[in-house]
Amino acid sequence: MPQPALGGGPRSVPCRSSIQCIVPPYMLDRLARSADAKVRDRAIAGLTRAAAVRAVRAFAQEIPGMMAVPSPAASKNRLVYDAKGKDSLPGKLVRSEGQKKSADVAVNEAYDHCGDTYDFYRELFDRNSLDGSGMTLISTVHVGEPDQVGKFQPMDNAFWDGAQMAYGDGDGVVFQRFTRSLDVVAHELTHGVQSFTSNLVYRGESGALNEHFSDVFGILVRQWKLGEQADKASWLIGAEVLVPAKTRRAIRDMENPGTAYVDDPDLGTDPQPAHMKDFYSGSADNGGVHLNSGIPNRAFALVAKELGGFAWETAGRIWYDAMFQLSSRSKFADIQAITTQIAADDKRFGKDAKKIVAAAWKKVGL
Amino acid sequence: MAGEESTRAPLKVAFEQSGGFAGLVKGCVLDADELPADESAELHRLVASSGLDVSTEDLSRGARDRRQIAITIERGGERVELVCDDGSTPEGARPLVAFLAARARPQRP
Repeated sequence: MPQPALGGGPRSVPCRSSIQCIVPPYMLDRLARSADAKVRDRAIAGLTRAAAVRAVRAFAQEIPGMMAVPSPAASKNRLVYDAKGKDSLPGKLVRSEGQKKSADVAVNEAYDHCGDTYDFYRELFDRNSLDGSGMTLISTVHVGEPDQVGKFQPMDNAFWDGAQMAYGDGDGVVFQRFTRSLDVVAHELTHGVQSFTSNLVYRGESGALNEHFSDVFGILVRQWKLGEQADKASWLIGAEVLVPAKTRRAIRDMENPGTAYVDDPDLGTDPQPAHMKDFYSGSADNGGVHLNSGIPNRAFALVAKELGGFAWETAGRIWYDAMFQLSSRSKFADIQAITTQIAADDKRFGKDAKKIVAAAWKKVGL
Repeated sequence: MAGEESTRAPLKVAFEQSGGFAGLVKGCVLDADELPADESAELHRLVASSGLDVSTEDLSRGARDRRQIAITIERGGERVELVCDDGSTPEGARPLVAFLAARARPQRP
């Protein structure tokens, strides 16, 4: 199968190969006023290309559909690439849909977890991939990042770049392969789903809701795969990604935000608030998108446990509907109002759902 | 900020890295005068070669779970701030970011 074009060919995690990224815009501005015509012309050309790059980035936010790579049959289609420890995406294609298992466990984890996430959305919500139209699920494993002398090291992160997932292998001291956790993979893929639904702006409260939905559907895919009832299920995010230690249980705890790790020498103490009284209002983390998500995360876990049964059956459907009704600038008050309103549908969710949802939001200070 | 003379100027650098999938907040504040001589010289060199002369903010749009980076450089009355993420860090500043990240410790946000 030919490799699909991703925005015009291989992309680098940081842009490393052309003047618009090597030379910062403020330097180009200065060079564009140079008395030397050659320098001036090159700088102006660089500024033009830089503007084009920024336009593509803005386009990816505003019209994510244009970044989607369609699948040949508009059905489940997974492609897994290997960055081979470097930072150029997507890397070398190593496993395509239907091909046999690789000898590389990270490749198989990315492939299998993508498949589980696709099946979850398809079977429960009749959603055909992230965009609803069979978009190809593209993953790159073994992504690296350069250290201060330019030597590549395994990346301590997983991210969604607007078109695909990227996974590092971790430093082996605190983090392990990010593909190990099904909920991490489903979290990243749900960022893709969101970009085609509410497309919540990744800053402040709307950004915390973006993170919240990714955690919600990340954990639901896991619970669904394992067949776990809400009251007996794990609500930990990324437990398998951490190298085990007494001071850490997971990256986040949706049921008890702020307790996933305590006094850890490398991680510190889990900073997630569990209540609006501890809402973070600083500028770090895009205005606390991974911090304040603890508040709605706890509300969701409370709802799911109080409703009982499988969390994806009732709480998950309420939240899935909400993802379509929120706007890109929605705040916590909006998700509170919309989920409560959706839960009022007695025929779909039972007569107690509205009361349970309202009570959960009240418990977290909304 | 390049040049022999600039390496003798007082230099303070504040660094904060936040976000990423884990949402960790780490940081450090380095005063070149208080570092061992070799580290101080390295910090001066990395700042000088970073190309960071003007405050700027550039975050990757459309990306999720990137790590956000904030650097404040204070030197001889000049103050320059960079806000970016690990997908939009200027090429020249990447060795400085790696140097600072290696010295950052967990912080309460």
